[in-house]
Amino acid sequence: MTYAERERLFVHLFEQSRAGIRRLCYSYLNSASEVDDLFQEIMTNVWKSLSNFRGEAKLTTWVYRIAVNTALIHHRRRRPSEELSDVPDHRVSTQRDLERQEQLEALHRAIAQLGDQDRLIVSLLLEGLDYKEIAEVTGITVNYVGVKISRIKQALEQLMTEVSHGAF
Amino acid sequence: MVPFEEDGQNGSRPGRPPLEAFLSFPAARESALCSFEELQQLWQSQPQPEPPAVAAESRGMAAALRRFRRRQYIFNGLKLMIIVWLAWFLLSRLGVSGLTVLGVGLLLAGMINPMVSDWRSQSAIARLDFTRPSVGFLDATLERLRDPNDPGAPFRRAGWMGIAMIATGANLIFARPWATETLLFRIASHTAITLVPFAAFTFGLKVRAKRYAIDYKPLVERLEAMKAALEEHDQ
Repeated sequence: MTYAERERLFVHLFEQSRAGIRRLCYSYLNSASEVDDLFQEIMTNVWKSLSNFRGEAKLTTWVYRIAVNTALIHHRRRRPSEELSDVPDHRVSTQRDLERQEQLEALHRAIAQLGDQDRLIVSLLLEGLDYKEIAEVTGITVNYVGVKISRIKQALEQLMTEVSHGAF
Repeated sequence: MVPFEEDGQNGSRPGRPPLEAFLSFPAARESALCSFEELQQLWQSQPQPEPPAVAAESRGMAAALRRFRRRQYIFNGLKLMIIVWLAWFLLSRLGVSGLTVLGVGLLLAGMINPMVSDWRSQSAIARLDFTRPSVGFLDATLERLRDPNDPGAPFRRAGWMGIAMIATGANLIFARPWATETLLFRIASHTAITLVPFAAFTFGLKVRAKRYAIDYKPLVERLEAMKAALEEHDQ
């Protein structure tokens, strides 16, 4: 892969995966102020790894692997529980927008209560990755991904109920 | 209250009716029916703070990466220049004799050998393969992080060898200038220049072990916990 090809692929990947990766960073760190640092670290690792990309994995899966691994070893300045979700500002104009904003805030607060790995897994699921893709990203078996997601969903359900009752 | 579905990909199956809500928010208590698919849509529709020109930002980042690579080259070049200068300085000050050249050669080789071994170890840590699945990635990362603290690690082996070379080199360099001194002075001096590098290296290893405990141990423990959490019951 020439340097120009690498740069073109990087720009393409950046534009394609930017939003999803930022959401993953946000759910993992639970802090908007640190998202930029982690996002930049992920993109740096994507750039460094591009020369080794052989097309054996789907491009999305490959990028999410880098994102998840970078997040796992990212040095966090704060513990997740120390800062509550500062959900990106929405322009609330209608009742439906208000409902969506509240649901989103509740979802963020519930995710913030999960463990590190579970936050990453649920983010991948919310981004639309299927069980097989999540297994390819994390390296655990598809069956166990199913078990894990089932547990995470139960925990989320419980947490969101608590959030709606003002527990967090 | 109905929980999320658990049996389909992404928590749902095509063609099935939407799940009943399990969410009940103050402002949406009456109407909000929220399946996992709806949560996915909600999640993916979150507004992003988009910069005015995304492509320009991408190119800016690529340029920053090129600058980073250039800086690395410059840094390594500077280190090489220092070693060349040291060789020239020692030879020009001490005079070129067979014994001195051999001594300076051993001294420099003794310095370069552990340095190269350390750089390789450092760059191996920095060159983690982020494209591997997380479990394998965590395994490889843990192995590389534990390496500096391992008594059989390449740095220690190269370090002891290097120190022996430095001590021998220093003894050879000073063998001629001290040839006219008393025997007692020569024995004391050679003993001192032999022991000092070994003592310094032993002290250095202790500092390194402390630095490891501060810099790496918490990370190793965190990674071990993460790996255990990922692999829990995945047999």
